[in-house]
Amino acid sequence: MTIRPNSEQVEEGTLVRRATYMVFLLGLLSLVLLARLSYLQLTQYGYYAGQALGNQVQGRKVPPRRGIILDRNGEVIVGNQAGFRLILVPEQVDNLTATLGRLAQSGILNPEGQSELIDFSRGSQPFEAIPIRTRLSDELVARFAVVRHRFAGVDIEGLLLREYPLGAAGAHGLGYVTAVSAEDKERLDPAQYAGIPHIGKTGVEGSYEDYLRGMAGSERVVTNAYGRPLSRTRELEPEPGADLFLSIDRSLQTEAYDAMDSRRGAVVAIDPNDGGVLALVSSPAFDPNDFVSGMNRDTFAELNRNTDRPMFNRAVRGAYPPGSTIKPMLAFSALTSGHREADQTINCWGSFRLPGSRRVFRDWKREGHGAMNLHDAIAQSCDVYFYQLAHDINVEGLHDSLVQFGFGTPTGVDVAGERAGIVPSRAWKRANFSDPAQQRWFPGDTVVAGIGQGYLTVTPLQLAQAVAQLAMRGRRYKPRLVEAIRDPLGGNLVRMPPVQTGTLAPEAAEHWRTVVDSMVAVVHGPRGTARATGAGLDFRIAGKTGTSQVTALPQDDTQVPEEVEERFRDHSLFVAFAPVHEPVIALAVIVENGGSGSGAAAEVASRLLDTYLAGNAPPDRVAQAQ
Amino acid sequence: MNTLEATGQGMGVLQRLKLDGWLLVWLMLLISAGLAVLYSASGGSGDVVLFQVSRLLIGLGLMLVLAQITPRFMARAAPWAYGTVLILLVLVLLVGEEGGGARRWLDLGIRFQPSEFAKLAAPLMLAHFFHSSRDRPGFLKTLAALALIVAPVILVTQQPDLGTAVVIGCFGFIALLLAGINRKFIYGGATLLFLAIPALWVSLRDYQRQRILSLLNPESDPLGAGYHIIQSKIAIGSGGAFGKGYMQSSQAQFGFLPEPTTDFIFSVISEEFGFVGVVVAMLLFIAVAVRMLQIALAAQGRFSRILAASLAIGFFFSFALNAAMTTGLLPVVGLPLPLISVAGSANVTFLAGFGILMAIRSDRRYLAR
Repeated sequence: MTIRPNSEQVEEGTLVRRATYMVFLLGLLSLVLLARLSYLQLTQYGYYAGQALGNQVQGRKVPPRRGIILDRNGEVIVGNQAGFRLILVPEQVDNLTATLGRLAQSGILNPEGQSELIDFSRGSQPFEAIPIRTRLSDELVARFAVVRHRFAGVDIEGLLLREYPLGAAGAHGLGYVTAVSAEDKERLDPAQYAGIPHIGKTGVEGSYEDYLRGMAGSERVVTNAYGRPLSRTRELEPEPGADLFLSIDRSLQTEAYDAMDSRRGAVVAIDPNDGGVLALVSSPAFDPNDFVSGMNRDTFAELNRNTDRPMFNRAVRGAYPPGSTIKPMLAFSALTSGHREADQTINCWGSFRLPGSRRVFRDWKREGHGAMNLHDAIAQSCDVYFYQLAHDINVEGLHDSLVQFGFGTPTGVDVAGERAGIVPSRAWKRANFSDPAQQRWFPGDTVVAGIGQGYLTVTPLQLAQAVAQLAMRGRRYKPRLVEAIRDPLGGNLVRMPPVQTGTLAPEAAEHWRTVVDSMVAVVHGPRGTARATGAGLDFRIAGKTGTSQVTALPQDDTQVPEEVEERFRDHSLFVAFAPVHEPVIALAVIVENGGSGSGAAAEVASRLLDTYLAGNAPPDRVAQAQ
Repeated sequence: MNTLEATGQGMGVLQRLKLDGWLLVWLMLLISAGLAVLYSASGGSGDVVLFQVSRLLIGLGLMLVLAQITPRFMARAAPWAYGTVLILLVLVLLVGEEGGGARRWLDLGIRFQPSEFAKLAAPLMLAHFFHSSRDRPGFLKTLAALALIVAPVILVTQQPDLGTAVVIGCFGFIALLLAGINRKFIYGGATLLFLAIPALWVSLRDYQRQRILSLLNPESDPLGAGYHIIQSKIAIGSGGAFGKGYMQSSQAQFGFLPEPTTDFIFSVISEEFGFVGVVVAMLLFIAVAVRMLQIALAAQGRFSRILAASLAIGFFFSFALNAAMTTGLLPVVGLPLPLISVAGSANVTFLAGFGILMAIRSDRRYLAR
């Protein structure tokens, strides 16, 4: 073709040459591509295959079912309810503030509390779902479903929420759960709490947390790029928590809280035969349901600010002067130690004076009770008799007799935070006062302790325990709420045998009878301090009133209770057990600033006893006994 | 070259329609395979495939028409075509439709991207510009040719569409180099370009810079700018030697891979058919390019040779750019995989290019010489 090279042919030669260069370059580029592809697909296959799988498959924890709590009749008093909550994964959300704002606009989220959510999300891992609204109504679930595609990283999650059908009535005995907080996580074993949404805080929920919690399971979830689950595979089934069977009687518990009617105080009722707590109420209380789904700050602050202290468990932590409620115990000790004979009388002229002292200890009855034997002194709650008795047995005798009934040490109940109360002694006073003048034990200290005043303090639970011991004629059982635990897997019921913690003078049947008879006379005797209460009772019970002073009132008693400012009014106490011979219930009631023990507290007690005995006791009706 | 023509009556039909048998075979294989992949990449969407088929039919029709036109006529029409494309590019900037922060579309009854047409118009214009002169282009002529390339490139960068602008520039430069411009200009230009890099960097938009940086270290921003590259590499790498199987691309099905039907369809091929499959795809592209080059080298006349060679090299270069982008060798600039990606205007343009190639091949007047 080429005969004579002309310029066109020169140019065409250039074109072919340059085209060849370019093809060569493209070939080189192809080789680079091939090398790249073989690197990605052959050398690095394992890595990228894992990445692709990791894209879709995520390990997730499956929360277990928390054990439920049943009362002595098998009724559920703490349960779980299926519900929905709205969760948000911070790393999947472009703009947290804007997303929350748009959710609020759609009416799905409350406009308030968003800054809290933002704070909370800062404190958690970006890949961890945070709940932004709990207990979604069906309507909200439906509303969100419509707009879900607009909210990447936000989703609805079904879960079991703790439910407290007793509400505030059960708050202090049963406790409550809250979301596991950041502080909790630092303190707790992370392996145990991975995937666990809630933690028990107080009461039975707190004490039996390890039993109730269960173990989280795990699952593999295939998700798409937007985090929406497409399929799930269980790897490990969650292990449900154990169910608890309580000695609590649901209706008695509720009745007790209602009877307190928001007044400050506590009620503890015990089955004296095994220490099973039938009711444990502190009033006023809070609704534990509010804690489950996260309480807003204002409600929580309000609970803590409230001067009635609804968060304070008075039943196990409240230390009160027991007043005259301890007179039967002191009387029994005096009988067994020989300081008193049952028919030995002491004249009561309305006041007591220590030998060689000018200080006057007044009886609640100004004119005095006259000649008092032990029976009448308890029935009519004669203070002078017990001033004298305390003086006679002295501080050591007083201390020993109170300790015999379990005062001064925690009962060991399965509710956390219990107080020991104070049974004063010479040693105690030395240790607890810094002023040398006050470190001495004065004879007057003994005298006021004889009527349950002064340094002596007890918890309502201790008082109920002591009454139960009286009811059992000396046998004392450790109070407890949980009677049996049901193994979550096998379903076996593991019963917890009662723990007997004391046996006091079982041989002194005569003395027991004397004391119990006098307590029956408190309620049913013609001059008993609680005879007004007894008149309205269907059943025969043994009881004792108590009126304890908040602070020592001035010794001239011109003041009538109504004139004292409410908070300085006397505490009203009442202890009782029934039936008298084969007791099934022993209880202690305290109504703070409730005035006389024969008033507020006795009313609460009689209402509870009538309700409870009607369903649970062999008939020992007042009519039959008389 | 004429093996197919020599056999049987069917080739007579091709001959009469002025179509190239081999090129047609490779194209049909590529297009059919591409439609199958697209069906999978779109998650089994018949609508997407139908849209693609409609655009491909337009392109094939255009190919058939262009195959009938003589190169001589093309050379005469080149300035008009070039001028029309420039006007369309200006129109895009003035009345174009906006989408995703850029004006790329023009709606004249049918929506299209004029910038894609510039890929064809630039080499066409340059081939026309050089075909009349028999001498090596001098400095002034080279400068003028440069201006012809730079004009559409600048217009397209204003949309902005950096990827397409680069490819238009490449098509133009390929033609310029093939036209035999002096080596001095090539080296001088390369030096200038190198020196201009800082200025270019400053003129880039933030997201464009981000994309280039994310290429260097995609893991620095795995959910932001680096996300495309990371997910694409995962798709390709997890395909392994033999792939996950047709319709089994988890990266595309579950939405991890962005743009699986357009810019990142190469990743879907790699994931579903593995190294073996992607090599086969590469071989198909090479087969098309080789056949185009054969036609170019056999063509007579400067216009035909420059144009055909530019289109051949440009076609394979487009494929290589997309593959390099999806495998993480080049920054993500948004380029389609020729004939496979859903990219109507680009595919129509490529098919029109094949029509031009076929016209050149059957140009008897030149062949006879």
